Amino acid sequence: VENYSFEAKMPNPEQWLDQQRRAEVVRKLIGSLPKAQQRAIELAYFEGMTHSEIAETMNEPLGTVKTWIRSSLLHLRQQLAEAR
Amino acid sequence: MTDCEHLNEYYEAFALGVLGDEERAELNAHLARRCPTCMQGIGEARWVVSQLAYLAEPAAPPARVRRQLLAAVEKKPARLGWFPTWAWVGTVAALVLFLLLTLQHARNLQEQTRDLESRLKDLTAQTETYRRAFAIASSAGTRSIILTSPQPTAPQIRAYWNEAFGLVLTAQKMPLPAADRTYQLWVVPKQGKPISAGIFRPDTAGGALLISGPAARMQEAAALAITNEPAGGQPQPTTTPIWVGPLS
Repeated sequence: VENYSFEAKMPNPEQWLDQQRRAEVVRKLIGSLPKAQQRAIELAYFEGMTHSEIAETMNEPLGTVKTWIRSSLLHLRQQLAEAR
Repeated sequence: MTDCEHLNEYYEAFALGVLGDEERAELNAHLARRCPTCMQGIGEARWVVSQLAYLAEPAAPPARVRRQLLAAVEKKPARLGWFPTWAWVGTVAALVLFLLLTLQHARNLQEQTRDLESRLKDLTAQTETYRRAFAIASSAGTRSIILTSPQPTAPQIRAYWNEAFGLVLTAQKMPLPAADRTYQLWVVPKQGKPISAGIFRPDTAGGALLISGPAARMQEAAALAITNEPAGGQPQPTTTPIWVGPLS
């Protein structure tokens, strides 16, 4: 506590608005995917699973899981580029 | 088919960390040769994957955490029970000194607590301002207006205007006006005199955020303009606009 220091900085307003817009794009896009594809992305990003582990967990073919993840991320890239 | 044509299918999966050992090893071996095409592709894929962090729901810290933090800084380190009895006489002076230091320490902690509470209040107000700005900028019917300046070093400034919710202006890297001057935003109507939409000063980094409810209708406005005026603002512009953004 002796050397206690506290500094909190709010982001620059323009950066903050930009972040909010991107967050909205990401949530909308991932939220609009079929539930199984959303689950695949969540298992990959939040659970750190590989393609094979996701396929096994979801009981889906490996090729399907690969296609889901790749097409979702390519679509997200395109949407984020358009939102810039 | 070259390596890159085959490997570009792996960029997103590599960035997301879902590739199997074999595919990952293949791409790593290729990247070890510093292939510029693949390095760029992986870089872009990593950026896209980083945006998935926005999927996590924003969480406000529970009130309990704040209480615990404040309780922690208010706690007084006054445990004296471990002093052995034989040391009482010899340590009276040290004890007095210790108590004085403890009192001073407690005073410092109380000041820090007050400072923290004040900062928390400021941050809460600032967050509310940002929320309002975002609500204006992202509402249906909001127009985005870019204000530019003929001065080559002056940055572009962006404004968002919603007839129902108001006008928000955001800027970065604005030059600071002199201490006795301020920037003033104007709505320039198609007919008649400019109408003030507020005064503002950028922070030391040149960032500015102004939220205004201009007394003018968007359909009747021709442009937004920013002038440099004496501190406190003026009823009408007294200088040539530095930034102008047409609405048409």
